Amino acid sequence: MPDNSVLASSLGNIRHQAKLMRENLADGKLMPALKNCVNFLNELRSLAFSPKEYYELYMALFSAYLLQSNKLKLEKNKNAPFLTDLYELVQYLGNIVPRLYLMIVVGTTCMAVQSAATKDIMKDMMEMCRGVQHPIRGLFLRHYLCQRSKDLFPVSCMEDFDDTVNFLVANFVEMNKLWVRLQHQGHSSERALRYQERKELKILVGSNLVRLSQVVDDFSAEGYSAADYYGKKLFPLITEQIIQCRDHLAQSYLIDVVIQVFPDEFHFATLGPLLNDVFLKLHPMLKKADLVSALVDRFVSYHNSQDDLAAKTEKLALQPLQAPSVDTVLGFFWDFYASLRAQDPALPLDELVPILQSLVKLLLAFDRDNVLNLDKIYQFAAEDLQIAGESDAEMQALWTELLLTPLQHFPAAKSLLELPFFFKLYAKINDLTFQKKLACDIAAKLLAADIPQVLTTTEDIDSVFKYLQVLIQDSGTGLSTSKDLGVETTIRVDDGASLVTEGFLHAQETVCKMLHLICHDDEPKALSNLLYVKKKYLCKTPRNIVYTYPTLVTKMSNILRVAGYKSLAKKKNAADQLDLMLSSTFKNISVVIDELYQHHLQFSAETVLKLYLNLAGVADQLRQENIAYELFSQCFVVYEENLILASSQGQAIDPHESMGGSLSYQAVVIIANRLASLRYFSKENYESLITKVTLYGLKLLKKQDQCRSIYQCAHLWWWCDLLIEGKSPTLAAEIDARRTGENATEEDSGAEKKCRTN
Amino acid sequence: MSNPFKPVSEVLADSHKKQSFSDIYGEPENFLEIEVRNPQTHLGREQYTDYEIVCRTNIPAFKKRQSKVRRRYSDFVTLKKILEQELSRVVVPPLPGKILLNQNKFNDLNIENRRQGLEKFLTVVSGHPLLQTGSSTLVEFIQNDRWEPRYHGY
Repeated sequence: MPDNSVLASSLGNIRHQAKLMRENLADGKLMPALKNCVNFLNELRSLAFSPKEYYELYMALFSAYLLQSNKLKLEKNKNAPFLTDLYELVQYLGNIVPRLYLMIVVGTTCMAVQSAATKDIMKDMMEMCRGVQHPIRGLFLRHYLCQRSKDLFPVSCMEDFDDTVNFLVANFVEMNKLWVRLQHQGHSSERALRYQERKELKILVGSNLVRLSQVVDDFSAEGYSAADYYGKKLFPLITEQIIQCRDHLAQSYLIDVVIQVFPDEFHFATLGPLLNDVFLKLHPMLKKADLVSALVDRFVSYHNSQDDLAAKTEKLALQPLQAPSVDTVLGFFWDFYASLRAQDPALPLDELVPILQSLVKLLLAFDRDNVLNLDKIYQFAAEDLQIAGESDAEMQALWTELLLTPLQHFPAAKSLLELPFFFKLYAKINDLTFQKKLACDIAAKLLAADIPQVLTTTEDIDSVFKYLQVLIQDSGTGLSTSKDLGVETTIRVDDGASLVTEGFLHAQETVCKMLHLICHDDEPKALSNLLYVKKKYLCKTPRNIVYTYPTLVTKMSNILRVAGYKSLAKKKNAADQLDLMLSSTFKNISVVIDELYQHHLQFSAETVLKLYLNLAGVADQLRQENIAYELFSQCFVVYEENLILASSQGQAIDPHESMGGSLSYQAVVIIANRLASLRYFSKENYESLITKVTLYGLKLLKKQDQCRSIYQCAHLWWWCDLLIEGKSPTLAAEIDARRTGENATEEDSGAEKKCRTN
Repeated sequence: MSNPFKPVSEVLADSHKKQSFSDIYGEPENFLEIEVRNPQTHLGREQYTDYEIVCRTNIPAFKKRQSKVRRRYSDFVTLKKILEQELSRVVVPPLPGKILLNQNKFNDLNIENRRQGLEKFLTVVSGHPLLQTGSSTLVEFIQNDRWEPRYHGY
């Protein structure tokens, strides 16, 4: 069993022998030094170590060994034939592992002094290393060979360069072989352990490719193009080995290394074969999506760096590297995707979707402004992929990403939403909950966009609201007790009690937020847009309008107020049609409120009342007295029909009770407040209104409510306003105002008297 | 002055032919694993212990790639005799010794020792190339569920 004591004793031995070797070298005694070398190299013969321990050993040796080779190089610099003799000499060593290590030291020293035999020695070393077929020892031996020789390769001419590349490729092939074979080593119950060991050793194999990439990239000669050379010579050699080893671990690691270590131009040059020949022939269980995504990431970062570079070197007029056009690149990916589908029709979605996602990413980087290609991808996804009904969370995440990633990239997200197949794919999702979630996410993306995604035309509105339809239409009663225990509010609508979930409320909130994106510089147009939304989308589900209409009405009132002020400012010369516009809009809005009232009169009367009051306030500000008066009358209708008895209906929860007073009392106070802020009423109208509200106050059920509402209303009789500009019709008769003030005091004291007597 | 240096492939005859990919990356062709495990003592008129022999292999001489049979000590003794008769040139390794006292026979420690001994024996015997190809009995012993040595006339 390997344990630390064995390793420690081996390390001790190495240190001891290394010390002896140093002494011998210092004395100039080469042969005894070699003997010491062999002694410590013998430690590498041990079978007892795991790859990690072996590596430790190897590193200890490597440092001790460096000295030896430096010495050799120094001493024998002038004497090349001596080195070749020495090279022959070490072949007589008994044990193969130390012999080959020693051979490599001497051999690489020969390479360093550039003797004529360099290439023969390289070839010989490569062949001799076949002598060690034990995977771990062989891998380290060849790794050593590769490390030792790294700066010594002959690359002076094309022929030398070819030999060097062959040398490295051969080393790679052999190392890969040893590495792949390691899995068959030992008892079958130790497969997991072998797998682990192979994972630890993978970097040794990969380092060969790194070296290759450096050599190929550094070499320069006339008529030599690194990318061409790679595509024609190196790429087929390497990938053939990778394909043929039929090993999952080896393939996934080595393809990744190939993608990472070779420069981008190389990949552009070999993209077609890489995708369509290599990827397709890999292990069927291998996740191609990971490889594609690695490749795409590579291209994307290349593209970004090119952009940066282009920005910096613009003045220098440097010719940037020639990358193939987007269409070519995309064409290769499409071919790959199609062949992948053809080859394995049963490929699971979690493999296909990430590939599509990578393509989306690629497109976004290379072809930022063109959404048509994106649409192609979505077309494919929509037509080709089956979306499972109850997709699991992981799949949902994948879909979400596929659909939402591009949204962030486009400054105008709307253009994406307008893509027909984007919507088709979205519509194909038949899991309602998931679709709702997606709709919310899309809305959130739009709302969070840096540039406000305003919707100015009905087409814009359609393109966005078709995604939100699901939020509007759904009834929201999809309450599952197990999942939605955290029910926040209970909302009762006219057909009886119904519960809604937090998610539902969130969805309605999202719709409301989206309403705020609808606007237009021209107010009448904005108003008609809002009405369009109401008519086409919101009113489709009467149950839910209680959430959306208040927002709609408030927004419309605000726009109307702005429009009205504008028209007031130029009233002098403007025609009556502005007035007509105003009155018709008021009418429209009150129709909207009325619709809400009709559907929700029982439980939302207070909301309706407030909306009417607010609108009445706007009408007063715009000096539309008749309209305002009518709206107040509407308020009184609402009050009489639904609020007057609110306190006697014995509602279980009265939210106002804690603040003192019943719902009807509050309603009276609200109306009174609104009346108090009126500015442009004629006296008669005003008085009839305040009298009415005071009467309501008198008729409240509880005595304390009566009292309080009466003295609230009392203020209405001595109202004066310091802030008003110009001449207010209400202020016209100042004496009247004083008189009404006295009246109010009388009435007030009368009411208090009444309270006392009761 | 030394001779000009030549790489080994030029010195040796070119006997090294190119390996095919299945040679390079495939599973080795001599994969063989023998396990002796799970001793069970059977009570009855004649009390005895038998052992499970599990074999996994891809050597063509074996008929099954995976097998599991049960054998008792006396079966091993018979096997050894047959092997010695069949191939007199091969030295068959010794079996673990007999257990001397009857009362020790079913002692756990003794059974474990014997199991290890039998496993060692069988590993050596089954790994021997001459025995693999030259003896029909060996494969039968390791892989046939109904191995009847007398059936073969011994």
